[in-house]
Amino acid sequence: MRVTRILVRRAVSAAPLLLVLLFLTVALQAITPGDPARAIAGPRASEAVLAATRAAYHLDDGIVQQFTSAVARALQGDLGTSNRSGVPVTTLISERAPRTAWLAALGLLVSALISLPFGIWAGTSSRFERTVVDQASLVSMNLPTYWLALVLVLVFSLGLAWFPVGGFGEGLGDRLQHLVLPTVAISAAIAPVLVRSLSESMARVMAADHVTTARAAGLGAGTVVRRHAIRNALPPMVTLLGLQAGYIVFGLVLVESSFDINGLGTLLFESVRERDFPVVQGLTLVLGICVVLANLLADVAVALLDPRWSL
Amino acid sequence: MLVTSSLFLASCGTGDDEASASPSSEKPTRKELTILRTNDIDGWDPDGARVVASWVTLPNVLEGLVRVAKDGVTIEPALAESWVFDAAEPSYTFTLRKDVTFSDGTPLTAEDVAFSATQWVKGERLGSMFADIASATAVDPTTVKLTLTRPSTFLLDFLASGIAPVVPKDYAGKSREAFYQDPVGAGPYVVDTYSAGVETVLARNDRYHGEPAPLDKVTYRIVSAPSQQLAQFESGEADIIESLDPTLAGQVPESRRQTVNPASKNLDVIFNYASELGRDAAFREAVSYAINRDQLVEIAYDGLATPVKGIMPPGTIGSVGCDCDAWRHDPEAAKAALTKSGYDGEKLHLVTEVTSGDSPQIELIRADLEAVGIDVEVEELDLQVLLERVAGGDYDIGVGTYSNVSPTAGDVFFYMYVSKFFGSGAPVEPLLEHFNTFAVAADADAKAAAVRGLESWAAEARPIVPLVSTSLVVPVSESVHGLKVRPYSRYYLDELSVG
Repeated sequence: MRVTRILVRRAVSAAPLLLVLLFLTVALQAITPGDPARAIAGPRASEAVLAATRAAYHLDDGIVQQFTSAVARALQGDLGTSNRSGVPVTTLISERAPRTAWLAALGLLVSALISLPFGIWAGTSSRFERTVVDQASLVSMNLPTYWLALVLVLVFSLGLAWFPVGGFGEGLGDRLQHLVLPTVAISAAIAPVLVRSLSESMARVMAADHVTTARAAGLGAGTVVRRHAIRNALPPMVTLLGLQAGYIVFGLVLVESSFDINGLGTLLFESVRERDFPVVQGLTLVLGICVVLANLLADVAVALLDPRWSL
Repeated sequence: MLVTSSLFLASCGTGDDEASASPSSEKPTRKELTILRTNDIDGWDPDGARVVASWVTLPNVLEGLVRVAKDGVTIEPALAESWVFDAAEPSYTFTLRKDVTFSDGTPLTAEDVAFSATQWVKGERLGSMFADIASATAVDPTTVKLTLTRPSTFLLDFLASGIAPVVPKDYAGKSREAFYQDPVGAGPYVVDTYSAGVETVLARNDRYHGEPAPLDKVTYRIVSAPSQQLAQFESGEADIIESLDPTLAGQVPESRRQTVNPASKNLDVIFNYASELGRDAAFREAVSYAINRDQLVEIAYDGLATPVKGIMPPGTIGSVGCDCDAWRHDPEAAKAALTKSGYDGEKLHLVTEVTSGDSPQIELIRADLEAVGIDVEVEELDLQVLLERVAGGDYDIGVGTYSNVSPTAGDVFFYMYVSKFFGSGAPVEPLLEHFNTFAVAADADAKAAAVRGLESWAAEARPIVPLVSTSLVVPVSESVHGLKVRPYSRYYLDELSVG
């Protein structure tokens, strides 16, 4: 029941958020430098062709008119057509989404798998060991992603030839092989944040009265951590994991570009560069929904972990 | 303009670099090739062709009546086996090859060609290039006549440009839009899969009228980062990079790259004709004399460029350069011209496209201008912003690159005309006069004479200031044979084989 209430409340609050997001992307078209008509028609276009292009693509319509049209289309599942390629935006997104989904899922999974043992270990260790983990995390999370990507390619692809330089691969095995290095690059940025969060909350929980009581009752260290500490220490990290979904969605541009993944991040970057506004608007809406869903999942997970938690 | 290198991918080869094995002498089975490019095609509708990738790719699927031979200037048969030009009528009469079919097995007839010609003319964006076609008539199943509004020889050159495909009459019952979502042509390849912005896979067309293409499958992959392109090429995951920035050429051994120097690609300076200074001939003369083109070639392009011989890019039908010394480096003459000009020492805005790496050429140009007393502030802009700034007249000087994308110098003639010298607003009437002479020139000498006339005018008036013709650098693996990229980036896939 509590979970249902969370879902309903989140859905209600997400709708206006997504509308505002869509309105902002429509408004951006009007204020972003660069003539979308010239981007569509190309630099060889004459003024007459540019005028015809503006008319054909409704580029001279007002912001409100463009916004209402976009909302009406979106409600019918139509996100428009790419000005650049003439391909429906839904097709472009559905073709690229699996690439980003694979990368995001692996990045989050590996980040979680790294952060759980390190975070718990650091949180239950001495102050010195915790400081060492903190400093190592600090270094890792501040490594520039593009630099790390280049180093990974140079060492493991071109040097040792263990992994492909780039691409998405075909078939499960080939795909996983292609995604190893991009996943490492993403995890290097996300896992340290989670490790720091978990180690801090673990340390706090380990100092709590109920843990002290459990220890006094003669429970072993492992049992205390498993039964009484982890569950209480996890909610901040899970919330953070949900928030990192935003980073993953919008921060994938660098990783996708560095490893030639050609997912939604690359599509967004290229569309902005080409002033392909239907794609930018469609992507913003879809990615916005993804971020909302990721946060919703995190909220639900936290609610399940901690019965005291509510919106 | 500023049609920059990122917009028009460059790729080329020299006769010396051409591999010895020819497609006809080597017919390996199950051969595949991966080609990397920065920009994807603009879809399959030829009227939407903006980037050179479209002009290069489309004719492999959607073949036209004629194409360009390996020498880059000879027009050779494609779907038409011969043609007759009648300057008196005026008209072109094409005789089609017999028993040609589209890739779906439907016979290709003169009716299809006549329909296609009407579609070329109707094109909203590029239709004006075919405006000399008054009507198209199927004389018999293998003969089609294009009646012209004037005796245009330019038309034949442009029919070979790659954007004049023969398609089924009435788009085989589909709308134009629907047809080009899943195009059917008569080229040596068919579209296997097309994922916009990701990759295009072409498979051999087993119904092709000529020799079957040597390759079973060709994959064009869109990889925007030069470092990633080089890494994939180095690791063997890709066979060809369609165009590499000349400043990165040193990262590929000479034995693994083709270089065309010069190619049909010029680095130019344009001026804002909406301003008094832009219209000041003495100021434009000062800028032209101020810039050291030899230094640009040596330092900025590491020798992979050539000082210009005129405003038209070299390497195309009719391109001859200017027999003059208007484009020399002469700082003293620059200072003298500057004294005569209306320039009062104010800081000028020099706009150019932002690049992913260093742009030493812009720094050299700025230093040369300052050496003669022209103070400039460089603004490196996103391409779309740059185009808007130029179109809006919000700049003083612009620097950019433009390329020919077809075998005829008339292509850039026309481009300069419709864009009013790349958006600068420079007067184009004298240019149009020479273009009209060029369009109906009876032979190569007459075309060259028309271009020479344009070059003489440009050397005097300096509507733009050309600097250097840059090279095209195409990394290509040793296993690829037959690649011969023309100066304007054209090559045909059925010329390539691997092994």
